[in-house]
Amino acid sequence: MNEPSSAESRSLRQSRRELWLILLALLGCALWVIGYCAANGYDLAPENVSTVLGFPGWVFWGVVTPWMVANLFSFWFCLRFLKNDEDEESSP
Amino acid sequence: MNETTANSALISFGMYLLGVFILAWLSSRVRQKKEFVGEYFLGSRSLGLWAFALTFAATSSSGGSFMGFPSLIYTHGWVLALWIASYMLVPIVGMGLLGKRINRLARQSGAITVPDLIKTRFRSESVGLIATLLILFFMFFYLLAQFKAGSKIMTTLLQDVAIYQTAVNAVAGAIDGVPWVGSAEPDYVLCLLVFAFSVIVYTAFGGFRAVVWTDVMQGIVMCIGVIILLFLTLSQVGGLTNATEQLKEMTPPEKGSGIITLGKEQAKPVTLRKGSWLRLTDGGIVRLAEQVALARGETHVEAKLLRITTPAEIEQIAPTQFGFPVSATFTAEKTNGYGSGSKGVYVSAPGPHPEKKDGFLNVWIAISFFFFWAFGVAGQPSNMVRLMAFNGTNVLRNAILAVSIYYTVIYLLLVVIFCCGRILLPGMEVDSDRIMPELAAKVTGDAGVPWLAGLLLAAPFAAVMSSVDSFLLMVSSAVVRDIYQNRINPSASESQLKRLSYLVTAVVGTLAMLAVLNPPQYLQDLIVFATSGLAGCFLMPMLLGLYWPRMNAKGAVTGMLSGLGCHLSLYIAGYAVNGKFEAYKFPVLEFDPFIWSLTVSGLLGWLVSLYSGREPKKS
Repeated sequence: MNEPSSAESRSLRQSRRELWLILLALLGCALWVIGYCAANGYDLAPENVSTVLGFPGWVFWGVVTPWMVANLFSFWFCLRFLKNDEDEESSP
Repeated sequence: MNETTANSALISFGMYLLGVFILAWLSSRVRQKKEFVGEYFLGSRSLGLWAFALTFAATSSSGGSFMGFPSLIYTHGWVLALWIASYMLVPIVGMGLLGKRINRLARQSGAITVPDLIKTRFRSESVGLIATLLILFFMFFYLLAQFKAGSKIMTTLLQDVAIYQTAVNAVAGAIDGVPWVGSAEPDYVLCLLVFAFSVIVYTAFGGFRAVVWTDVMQGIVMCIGVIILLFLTLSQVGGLTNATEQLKEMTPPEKGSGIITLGKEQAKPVTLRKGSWLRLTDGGIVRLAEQVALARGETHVEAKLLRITTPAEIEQIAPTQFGFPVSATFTAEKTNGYGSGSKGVYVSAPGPHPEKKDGFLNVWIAISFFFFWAFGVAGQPSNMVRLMAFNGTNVLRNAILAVSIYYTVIYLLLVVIFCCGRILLPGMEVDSDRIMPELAAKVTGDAGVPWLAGLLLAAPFAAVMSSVDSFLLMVSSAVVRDIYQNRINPSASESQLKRLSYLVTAVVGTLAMLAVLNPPQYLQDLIVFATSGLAGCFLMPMLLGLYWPRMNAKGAVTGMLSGLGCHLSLYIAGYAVNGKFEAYKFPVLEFDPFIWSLTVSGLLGWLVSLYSGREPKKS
């Protein structure tokens, strides 16, 4: 890569911040989803399966809820955290 | 499927193809006003929000999303919600991880293909060439698998249409005795020819813009289809709570075989169709897992059967009426699987499995899939090329939001729909790949709107076509741009490139079609092989190259080749140990090979770049 210009450096720094946040979100969701489902969803007798809004309880709290939270995070990330490059308009 | 539903499938398929050709024609009109190569392979880098969002989403949703995935949900139950869970972050990982940096570099360098981009970033012809060869190698496998999937979907959906059966008989006569093709099923050959011709023509004629526009149409068809199917299915099972409560009481059916006995001798030969219900002599109920034929006067025949084990279902299912009495005996196969005879397995993890004693999804495999989906989508060159084509960060921002909602609708709702499908259609294990068309026919028929099945059945067509066209264009661009224009004839004229692009797209598509005329075994496994291989080779070198200025050409070559080496080694080891085409899995960490090749590729690429010195500054 060529010696970065200051605009390129700032773009790279901002993109790295976005990258780390995305990876952190993925790790957080993995811990929530796998952790919750492994602890509460495996080898259940039918009488131990509760339902929440029709979903088995472990699916609701372990998959559906984090899915909605992940969507909210994506909205926040895109609308607040993801920045336009300052030299974007001048790109060919 | 009844005749009305079957005909509506044919009409919807015809209308769908017409729409696709119109879009290809329109896009070719747009292209006439623009520079050919940039427009044909990258749509002049002008994708707006909906085009970018839906082409990304539709390309990722292949035939598997509407055939294989529903089949898995039906067979293993609610655990599929955990299996697919990382799609909650696939949009942000798949588009956000690389999108802004790839798009910036592609705009600055004028790159049109992924190897173009890699060559520019690392300032190395050899890195670009390796990337081209890897894409050609893996993409061709992928193309074969998708052609087969497309044809299989067509045969499944059209099999009850009378005019289609006439055409199948004509094809059977034509291919009889022809070497190589003659041993293939005539219905498969017919559908393959129609499917391949359609895709090759509209992709070759329309280029990237046609692929994107048809992806948009296909994405809308899939989304509307899923929403309609959800409402119809939920209303017919009495709501989701009721469905889950019924699923709790279900036990997996048993596979086995038995003797079918006709009550009296028949004057004509008798054929019992696959899927027919038979009453057992002990009062139980079984489903025929294969079509059986009895010669005139014959009263006994052995057949593969599926025995229903849930008491409520045994009471509800009525045996098929043949016009003469038929009974059966049943002997279950001995299995070492998980969940046999147990209630609650469809509403809990790891989900029932007839062969695996630790069930469908143990915790290690769940971890593996969580990262596989997210990074696998990000690492596909067919998705990377879309990231090169959007028009500014605002488009990326809104597209991530749109795809997040889209994937929530598609994947989460499919789990709900096909868990309910288990209740509406018992015994589909005899042919679980048909659950989507059968459920569409059932719920629309019962709701009094059988014509609506046509729209629902267009979704799988749309899914597989939107993947095939993208892969076809990827292979074509690798040949025309990366090999011919960049290496053989850099001064090629616009008209030469145009003719060559049409020709290569058509030839590659035709070769893929000929290769699967008589489909090789293990084709489904080839999809997994190609997907994980591409991501394992490309993701880490690309990620490090975009975010770490010290990543150099030696590191990139090491990353790609070590990813390839690790991937191939695990498959060779898997074949040596298990005797079939699958990757070796370590006894403790049963991760998908993709996780290992990603790790090896990233680690070695990083180390080699770190210790091989900085690249000289370009004057």
